[in-house]
Amino acid sequence: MRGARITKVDTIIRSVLNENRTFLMEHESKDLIAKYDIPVGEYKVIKDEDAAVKFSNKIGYPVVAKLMSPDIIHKTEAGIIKLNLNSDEEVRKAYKEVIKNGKNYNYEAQIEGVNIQKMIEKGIVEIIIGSMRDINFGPVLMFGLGGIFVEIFKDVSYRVCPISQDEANKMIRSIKAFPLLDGYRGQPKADNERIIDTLLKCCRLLIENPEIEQLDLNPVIVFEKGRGLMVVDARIILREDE
Amino acid sequence: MNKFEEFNGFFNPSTVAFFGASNVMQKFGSLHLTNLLTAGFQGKIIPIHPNGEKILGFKAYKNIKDVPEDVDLVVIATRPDIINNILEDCGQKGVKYAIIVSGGFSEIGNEEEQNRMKEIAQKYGIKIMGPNCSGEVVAPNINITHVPWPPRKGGVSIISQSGTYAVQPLIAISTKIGVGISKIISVGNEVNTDLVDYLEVLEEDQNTTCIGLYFEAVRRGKEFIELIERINNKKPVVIIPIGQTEAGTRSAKSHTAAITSPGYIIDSICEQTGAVKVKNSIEMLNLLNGFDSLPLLKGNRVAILTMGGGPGTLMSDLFESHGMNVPVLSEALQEKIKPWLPPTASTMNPIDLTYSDDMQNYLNVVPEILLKSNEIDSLIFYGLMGNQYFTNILKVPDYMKDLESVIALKNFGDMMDDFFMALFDELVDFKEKYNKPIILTCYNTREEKFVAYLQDHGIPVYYPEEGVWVLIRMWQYSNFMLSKLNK
Repeated sequence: MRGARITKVDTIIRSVLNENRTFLMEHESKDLIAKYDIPVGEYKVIKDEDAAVKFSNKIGYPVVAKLMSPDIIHKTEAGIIKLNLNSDEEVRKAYKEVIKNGKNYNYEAQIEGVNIQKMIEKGIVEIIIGSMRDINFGPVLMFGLGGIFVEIFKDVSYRVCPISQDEANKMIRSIKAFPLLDGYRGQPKADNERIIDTLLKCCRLLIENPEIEQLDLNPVIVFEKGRGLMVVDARIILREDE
Repeated sequence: MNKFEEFNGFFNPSTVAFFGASNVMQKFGSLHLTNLLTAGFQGKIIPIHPNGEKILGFKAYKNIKDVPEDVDLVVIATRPDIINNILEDCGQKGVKYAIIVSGGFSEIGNEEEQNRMKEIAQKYGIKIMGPNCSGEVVAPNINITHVPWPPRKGGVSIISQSGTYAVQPLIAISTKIGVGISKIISVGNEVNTDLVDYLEVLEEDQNTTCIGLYFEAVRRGKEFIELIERINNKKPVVIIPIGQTEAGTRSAKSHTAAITSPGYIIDSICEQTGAVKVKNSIEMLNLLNGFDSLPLLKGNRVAILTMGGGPGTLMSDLFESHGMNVPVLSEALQEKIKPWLPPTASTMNPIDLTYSDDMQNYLNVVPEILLKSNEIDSLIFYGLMGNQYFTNILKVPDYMKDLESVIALKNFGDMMDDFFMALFDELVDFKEKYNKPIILTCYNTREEKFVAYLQDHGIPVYYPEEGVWVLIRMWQYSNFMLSKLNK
């Protein structure tokens, strides 16, 4: 299937494939989706503690530190995410801890560095945008609210790509929890236009990059109408060779 | 040449040759031949058999190449290992269309023979339906399947990846549902024609008003979605996806070597295209019957006219919990129908007659008042008794048969079918005149003459809840199309 591609393989995807990996680390995933103009915030993968502190000061506190390793997919489980760091000391401590925890979790894990990024303020809601590739129909986009809404209530909607703006609109309106995006009980409305826009961009990303087996933007924090959204974590898995 | 013309050899053949038909009647090949014959096929039937002079009364040839005239279509139901040689002969003879009933190819992992089949077909330009399929029906005179229940002609066409679901329901169609069929196509392993091809054919087919799809896996997914969306603008597409659970997926894979897609993907395709998904084969046939026989719903308001409270209540619950509305009729409208109903009747909606033997009021007068009003968009009846009802009552012991009341009942029963027909003709006229769906529900089957008459004249007859679901699904389709138009 890869051979049948008309457009050229994205440079990020190609370098991941060259390393015989099918899993894009968070920063690689974000680099790729940023090419599609999807907001991912400021982040940098850093290989020494002093530079981590310097970058933290540059983007301003609070920050988040996450260990980047091609060998660790489940970051929370491995204890390699430290949130809400408010000082140079906290960054230094977190830097050491995530490396230690990563090694404890998987002794052989290759360490790419520590990803320092701005701690994103609380928005109206957290959403998830995901995708999988169906053998008959190609890329399928998924949308839902984060946390229990997806995990317990399975309150999600799906569409086969490509979708129109109208379909994307229907997609967000068809989940049961839509009122939470629409100004429930005096809350401000979420920036639904930007969600629609992001769904369309994801669709384009999936169609233009048939190597992608799975996309998982989770969570994406959505702010109130007019203030956009921000992808907090991103994961992309490529297809195994057929 | 458009797609319909390109495939017309399957649907309008003059000469059909059979491989696998013999003088053993219960052989699959023999069944296909005799069913074509008894359906009233007007063309020529030619059996090909290695050692038969005459097969089932027809002059047979040892090889298709010995047949003097042109052969439009061949039906092959022999053992699988000789099929590719047969196909080679057919190619040399100039045959362009073949229905291959026999299995034993990709569905059991025999890719090699199936690939060879594809190559031979390509070399000679032969279109193949199958292999591993149950054939086709083109109502009323072509029935190349093993099921001897040719359906009446109508506008419903079905494409099925399951041979069984393609043809076995013909029994229910003939005895219960009464749906009018245009074409039934069993695609089997889809060696060089597939579901998507036949969808394109039916899109262009003037005789097809609506399409039913029974599928396990759509190998050309993208084209499928675009096509369904386009066809739905003109004719409704009703689907049953199968193989949605682990066991179902396993079964589908061994069945047609197909890899199915999960249910949520099929659901999202329905939401994108307006295709109507149903849960089972009977619901599919019922709904297709509705689409073929009735005008489309223009709104979701339904009037229920019932002989009995229970069905009225259950129907109301079902309608209102699935997006339909059973509105209370206006005072003025209630006043208009009141004089024609028994004093015990409820006029709000459901209109419950409790019991009335005035069939003219029940079947004509009240319905016309309702349909004429702008308060409802469709009408559903519950309850009707036919001649069989009285025949059963009259199975009384002989000593009762001379009683005057029994004789009177017998006379009533004898004349009621004829009496009903006139009332039904009126009802059919109302459907056209007011352009609103009318459905009758009861527990009878086509054994009862009135059921067959109504169904054959375009008023569907169902079991009560089935009829409700037909209207619910028809509204689902209309609602999708109306919201699309309003954009």
